[in-house]
Amino acid sequence: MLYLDIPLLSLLIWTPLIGGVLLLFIDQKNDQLIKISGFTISTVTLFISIVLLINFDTSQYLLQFNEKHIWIYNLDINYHLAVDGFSLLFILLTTTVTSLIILFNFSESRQQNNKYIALFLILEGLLLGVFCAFDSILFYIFFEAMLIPLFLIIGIWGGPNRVYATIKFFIYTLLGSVLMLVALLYLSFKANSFYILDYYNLVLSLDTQILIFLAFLIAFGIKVPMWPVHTWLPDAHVEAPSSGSVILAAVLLKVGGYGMIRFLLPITPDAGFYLNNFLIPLSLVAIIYISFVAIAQQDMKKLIAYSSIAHMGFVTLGIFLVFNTIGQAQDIQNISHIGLQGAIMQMLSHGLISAGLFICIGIIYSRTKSRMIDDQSGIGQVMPVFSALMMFFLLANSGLPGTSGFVGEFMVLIAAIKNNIMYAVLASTTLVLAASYSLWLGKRVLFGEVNNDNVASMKILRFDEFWPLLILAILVILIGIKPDLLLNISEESSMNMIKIITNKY
Amino acid sequence: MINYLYIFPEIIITSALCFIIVLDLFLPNKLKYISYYLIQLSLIFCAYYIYSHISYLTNNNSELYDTSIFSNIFKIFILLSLAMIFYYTSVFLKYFNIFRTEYFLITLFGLLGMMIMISSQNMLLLYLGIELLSLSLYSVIAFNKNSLFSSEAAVKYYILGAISSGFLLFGISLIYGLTGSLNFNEIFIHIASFNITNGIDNVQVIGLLFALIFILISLSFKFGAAPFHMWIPDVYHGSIITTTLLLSTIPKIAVFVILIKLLTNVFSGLFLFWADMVIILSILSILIGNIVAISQTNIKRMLAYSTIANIGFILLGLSVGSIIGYKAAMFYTLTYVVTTIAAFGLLSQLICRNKPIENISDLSGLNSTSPFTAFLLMFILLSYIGIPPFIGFHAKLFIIQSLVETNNIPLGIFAVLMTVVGSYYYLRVIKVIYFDEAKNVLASTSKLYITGIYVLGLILLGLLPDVLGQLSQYSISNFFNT
Repeated sequence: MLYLDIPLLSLLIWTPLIGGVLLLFIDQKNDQLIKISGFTISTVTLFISIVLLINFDTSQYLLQFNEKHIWIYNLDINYHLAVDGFSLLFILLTTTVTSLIILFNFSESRQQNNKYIALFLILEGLLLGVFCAFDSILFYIFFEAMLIPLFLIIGIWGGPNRVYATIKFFIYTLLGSVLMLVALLYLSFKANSFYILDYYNLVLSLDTQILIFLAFLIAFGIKVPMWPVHTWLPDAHVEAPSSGSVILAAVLLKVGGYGMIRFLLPITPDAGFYLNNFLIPLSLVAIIYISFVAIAQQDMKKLIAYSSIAHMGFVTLGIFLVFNTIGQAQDIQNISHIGLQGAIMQMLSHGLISAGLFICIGIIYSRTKSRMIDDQSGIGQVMPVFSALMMFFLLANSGLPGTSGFVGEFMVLIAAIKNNIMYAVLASTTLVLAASYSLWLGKRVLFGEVNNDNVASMKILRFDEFWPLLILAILVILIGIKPDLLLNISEESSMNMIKIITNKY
Repeated sequence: MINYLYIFPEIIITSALCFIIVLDLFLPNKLKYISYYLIQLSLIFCAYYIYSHISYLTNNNSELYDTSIFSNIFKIFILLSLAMIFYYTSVFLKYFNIFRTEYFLITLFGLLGMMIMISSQNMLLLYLGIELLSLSLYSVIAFNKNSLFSSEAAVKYYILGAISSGFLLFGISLIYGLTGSLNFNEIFIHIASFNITNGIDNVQVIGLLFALIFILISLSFKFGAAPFHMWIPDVYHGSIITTTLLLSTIPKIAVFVILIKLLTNVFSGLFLFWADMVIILSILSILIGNIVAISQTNIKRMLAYSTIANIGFILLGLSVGSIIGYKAAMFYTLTYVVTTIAAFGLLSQLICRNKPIENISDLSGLNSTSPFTAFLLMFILLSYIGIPPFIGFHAKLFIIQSLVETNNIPLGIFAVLMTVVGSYYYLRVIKVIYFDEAKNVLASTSKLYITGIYVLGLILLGLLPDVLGQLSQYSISNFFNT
């Protein structure tokens, strides 16, 4: 490998972190410089992540690009960064979405723009840290530090009810993560190490496993979010500025799914097997009930927020189905491998699609100053290109074959059919429900007659609004047509994960 | 033959005191700052003397006065913290035109008291130190003689302090009656000779338990642990903000050292009994501190309750009863002190309508008037909550880790859940700073360079927690090896 000597992962994490902090020192009035340097930093980070991708060896599951230094000598906590197949996919998602967000913000001028862009860069750095950290305390530090930038983004630039939303968001996620801290400390006490992979070899009794499982489930379930701890998400989305919503839906929620794959699956498989009759219904409730809730929404952002929860229900379903195949024959295990890969696929595709949709809603809101569906009608006649793109994202959101939205759901459904036909039947209602809320939204907002002056006077897309949408759309189609591009990356890691879980049983 | 060189640090402070008191009388008002700088110089010099002679000082094997590495590290820490506190105090007093050298001199008496407390190996010496500290604090609290609150706070603290001293003396006399000695080592040997596990039917053990309870009550009064916390909010509220800064930081270090010495050494034979008492104290402190703080509107009262909650965490570390817990407790104490100096120091430099900051709402919109200050304050508050990567997180991490390692997981869960409850009132302040409209014009009494550097140092400490971690490791393991 060409770049072996360079600490690529540290570079990846610290470029946006340090760049973001430096941005704070640029004078607010120098708007152009702020935007250009912000965009440069995010592009450099994207470039580093692509270098990672090129040098990543997909034929093995071992950790790559290891970096390990002693950090807290007393407790033997290390600064340990590495990537495997799962991490790499999320790293790519994070860097892509962040660059597009900063591009999307380009011609917008807002108060304290230097802080705004700086916070996004810092958030990006912390997110990358979460995906790279293989020391549990380091992971926890990135995981919790992530709260601060988003707390400020929603609180300072958010809507009228922002204080309520942001404090709710903060306390909800803090509550989840502190219990995880106790679980991590307990595991490290048992394993005598803070290295995450050492936890995989621990043999724990069922009672202990259940307690640890619940601690992790609360932490990651709130992040994902699972029903019934989802209520912070619609509030946060509605109050957040558009770019805040984009990063929240596209990347932040995925941290929950990533955490489940990294901790829940390999450490506590028995507890998962034991509790699965309770967990899978939770995912199904998220898929079906939340979809109905989404149909009833009057606010576009809330609608997409609820649709996010429903889509993440598929992710948790795919992950929890793995537990059901423990102790089964080899071919069934291969099925759960498909389910796990489907869950990852669903997260990535939802990241891209929801980013596109939230950008679309941001564009509408910036013109009509309203997110209510009733206030818009016939946007298609005023902004044809925009409407085509938004319609495309809505179709992808409903799982149209050929888009990435189809692949993940399809794979999870395959796994569900093999497990229990009832799960599959219930889960597949989403194909109808998602189509109904997505297409109905499109019908009400984009089609029909122009019925008010706000809509009639809408300006056509600017170039910095057009390009992020187009790039996202191209990615969605590309993944939809050739999902192997991404599936290959996590193939070996996912196989290995299934092996760890079944061997442990 | 008594070798006075071992108490040279104390001699430095005493002689500086005597010299500056006299000198100050002859200085005209314009030149009073000379005595201030002399005081700072003597603090720094004393800290440097201890640092440079630390190996010599440890040779002392006096039965009365202990100058081991453990005590000396705390002394250096107290001296440096006091220098920082004096900086803030002088800025504050000068701005409001109430600068008096006496304020610093009286505090130096308190410093002397604390150094005696830390070094004492004898119950009476301990009592002497505590009284010297308390007497100087009474007068410092009453310093702002034009304020009604200030006098009320002083009287309240005086009366309650007298009661707690009574408790302490009563405990000490019980111990003397039962063991025939006031020396720590002899008491330790005497207690160790009892067979405690044999039950409480032994009259001597019951007497010792009473003595332990009385001493613990008195010390938890000084420490500010619930249910002996009643004076804290009123006194913090009543005194000027730099006195609150003084009260809430270094006396806690001194009491912490005494607690470590008494509980883990002298009374180590009674561990079974005092562990439960300390757990009760800590649970009550964390509960009362975190919950009552939510309803406070005055920022000093809020921080007073936050102090009580933090004290609870320190006691939680002590209750573990193993070296790992004491290390965590020491780390927490040091962290708490450096963070609190930053918090009160920063607040003391802010003024609203030409008055010191009183209410949380005074801070509204700080971000729009002075973004840098808002940033510093946010870091401090996040560190108090325990959000990584700030230093407060590591402090809580070590405490919880020590609880988990000794199988006290329910207590650990309790502690982290109360952290979430506590996060609410700190977040409310951040909300006022960042999300509210600016109602008041806020200004600062001086340039914030030193505070800025200090807070950036705190952030660095958070990124490199090993600095304080190794220090606590070193001193605690030293304490238990000697």
